[in-house]
Amino acid sequence: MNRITKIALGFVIVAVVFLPQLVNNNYILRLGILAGIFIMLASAHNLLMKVGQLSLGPVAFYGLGAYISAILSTRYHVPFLICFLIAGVAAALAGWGIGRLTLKMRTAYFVLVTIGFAEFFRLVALNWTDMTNGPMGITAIPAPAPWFKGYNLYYYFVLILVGLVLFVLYRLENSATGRAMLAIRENEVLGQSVGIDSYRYMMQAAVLSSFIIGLAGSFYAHFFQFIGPEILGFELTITIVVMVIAGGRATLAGPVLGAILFTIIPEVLRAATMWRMVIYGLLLVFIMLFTPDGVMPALVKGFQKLLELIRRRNSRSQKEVSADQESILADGLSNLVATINSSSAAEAAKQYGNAPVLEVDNLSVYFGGVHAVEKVCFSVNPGEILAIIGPNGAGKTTLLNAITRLGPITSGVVRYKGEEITSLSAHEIAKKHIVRTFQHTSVFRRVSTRRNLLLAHNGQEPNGILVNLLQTRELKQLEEVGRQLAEEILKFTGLERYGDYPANALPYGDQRLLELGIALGADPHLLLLDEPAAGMNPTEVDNLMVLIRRIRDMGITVVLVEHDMKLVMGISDRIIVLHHGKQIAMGTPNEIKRDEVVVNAYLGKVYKDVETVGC
Amino acid sequence: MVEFFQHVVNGLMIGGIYALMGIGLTLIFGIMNVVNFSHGEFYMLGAFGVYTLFTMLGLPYLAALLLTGIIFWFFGSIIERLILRPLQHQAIDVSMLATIGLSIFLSNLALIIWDPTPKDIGMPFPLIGVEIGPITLTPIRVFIFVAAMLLILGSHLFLRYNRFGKAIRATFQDREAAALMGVNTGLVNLVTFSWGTAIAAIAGGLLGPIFQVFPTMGTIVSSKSFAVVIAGGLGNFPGAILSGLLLGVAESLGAGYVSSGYRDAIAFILIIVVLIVRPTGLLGKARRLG
Repeated sequence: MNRITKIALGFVIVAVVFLPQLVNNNYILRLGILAGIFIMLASAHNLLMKVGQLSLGPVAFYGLGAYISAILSTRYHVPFLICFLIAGVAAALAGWGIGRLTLKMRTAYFVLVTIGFAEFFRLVALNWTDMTNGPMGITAIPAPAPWFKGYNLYYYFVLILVGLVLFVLYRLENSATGRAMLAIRENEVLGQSVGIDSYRYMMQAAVLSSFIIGLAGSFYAHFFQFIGPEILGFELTITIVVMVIAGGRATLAGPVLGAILFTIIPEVLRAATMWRMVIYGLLLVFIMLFTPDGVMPALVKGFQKLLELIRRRNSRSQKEVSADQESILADGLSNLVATINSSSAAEAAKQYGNAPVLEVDNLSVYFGGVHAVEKVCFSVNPGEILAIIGPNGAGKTTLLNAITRLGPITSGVVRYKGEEITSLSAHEIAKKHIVRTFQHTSVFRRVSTRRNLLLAHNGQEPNGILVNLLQTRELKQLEEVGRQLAEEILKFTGLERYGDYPANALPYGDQRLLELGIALGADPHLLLLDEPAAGMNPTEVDNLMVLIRRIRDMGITVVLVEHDMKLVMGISDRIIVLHHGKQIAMGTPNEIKRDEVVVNAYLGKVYKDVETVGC
Repeated sequence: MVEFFQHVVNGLMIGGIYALMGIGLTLIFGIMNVVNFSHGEFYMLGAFGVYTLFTMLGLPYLAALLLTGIIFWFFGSIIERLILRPLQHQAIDVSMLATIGLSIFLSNLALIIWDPTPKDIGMPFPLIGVEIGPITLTPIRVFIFVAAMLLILGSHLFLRYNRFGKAIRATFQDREAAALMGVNTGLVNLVTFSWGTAIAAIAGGLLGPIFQVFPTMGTIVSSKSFAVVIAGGLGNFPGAILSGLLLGVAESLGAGYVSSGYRDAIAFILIIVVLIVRPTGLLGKARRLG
């Protein structure tokens, strides 16, 4: 945050706090209270957008909170504060339950099934007349206390709530949780491969979001003192979603601005009488057409451009990295001699001894009738570079996917340092310091290179919501380790000059290098590389060889899937050959070169009855 | 038992319309990756189209229906060009919100043009019931079901055997590969959306004579066609037909035997149950079309 923003923010806060004294107008105060409720709703709903999920069911929790609070206070005369808390907790529980059912779904499936839940809740409110009064709604909901009168009090109540909510969200945004959420919405699979438990974070988002929405619902009920099934209607969902997306999804300020704008716009449009909603709809279409990322990011971008313009006028020396610059891999990476000291691999290797680190025992992966991997057995010794080669479709990537649990296993066992890891999930594997890269370039595309490396370390940082809210010392220390590691990796890979540029602005070869950097950022002890040299020219491959050797020298064991024979033969200690899912040979590079079976299978001759090398 | 079959027959008629709405939505999603929230409004406008042409201007019903289809084909093309094409590389929620804006715009515009009071289209066919055994069928219901089935069959045959239909299927499989093989994928988008719009409008025109016509009639049909599309598997053409018919029958039976208040909840219970039991929909995620 720069100084101008801080000053502006200060003014806004002062104005908001003294609004009742400044205007003393009930209409404006009522709008302020409404805007406050909407800021809570939009910001809470935005939590799910932060993990890349669009829900069209926030009103389910809003309605639940409102109805529970209303029923408890009118029928059972429960005091307001208790109703308020129960409403939040009940909504959070509902969020947890619905999350369990739906958070495995993605994109449009999730979107549409959440509408289903909201509609279902609405129909229950409409039809369960004994409890909810059906379409008549619940009237005469008491104020929070007998002395709680006048808009001023409600205004300050909602102001404090909004302040708390925004504070919590701000803390989370700037913690390991916020970074993990960024990683998930940028590239979920890559996130899992470096140890980020996306399901857990989505669940945290769902529960916290529905808790806040439930509280807002309770406040709404006691403020208006009347509720009906309309608060579960699709129109309200649209309003909330519009606020979030038009304001700027996944940002902190976006939904706040969106909520304020879209509380005011319909009021202003009242002047247009019957044309009001027509204009509103059209406005929405135009906002999407012209600022698809939201108004807030567009404003920020415009503001930055303006600053840039002023700065450029003052000083004409501008450093720019041009996209057509040669890849770092092509121009002299071998001159770089930086090492990574923050890695824990060397220490772990020293303690571990000489037994195999990874044992793959009779591993099979079938896709229906296709036997992609058939009873493969091998083990990886500590500190070695083991290559897996074979023609396309031999099952190499499937094997890597199975080991790292990003893909299915049909049968067989994988052990890491003697411990079975077959039943773990992908992010748990990464937490055990087993990290992989991908055949197709996989980075956090819209995030700066430096931030990419910070995100990579996220899997090693605590993922509890409380730890991240309180920003404990343990968390800070781990964050510092991540920062150091990131700087060292930037130097190690030579990507330092790109530190502040988004990953998708890097030349292809350097994106692959960044991918390697991301894997290193997760502090691997065992590194599985899936065709790291694909698409590289001979010079780049030479440099990559140097780099992989250095990684091994740091105490990291390397498993390499690769087609480039120069690379494979040049750096591997041992080689395994797969063909049609079966392991047909294993040995040193020299043995493999002379192996007739391998030569026939890999060079493309038709070779039937290939014998499998047994366990 | 007789009552049961009567419910099933009535359900099949509504189900035919759900299926008709569903195939449009599902193809638009499958081809364009757009969740079209204005589909229900196209349905509503179709009903008003037939109301204007048939009831007010006195055209023959079939001609009014056909003309409505043609008008909305062009209407769909315009929407695709002006709104969806510029957004095709954006995240899915951007185009979704744009179609939500469009639906607010259209339904409120309809409110101004035709005012909120429900309108009767009037009966295009004689109201005499035809009795087949113990079940009574009115000609209009038979016509609706047959027309819906013919449209579905026609769409299927077009996708299956027509050269352009094949191009649509190729685009569904892999947009980039299809483009490299010379398929004009922009045109595929245009035709898919225009076709979906026209079909939705005709569906509205078909069901109009049975129910009343009013500007907010699209909302509930729209959410039900979403249910149909999800339950059948997103992008799954036969899945949408099957779950459309199923939903129609389930609603009719539910309203008849359980409670008519929860009639509209059946659709949502259906998707929730289907997605929990079979997360990819009744017939699974579509791998091919037609």
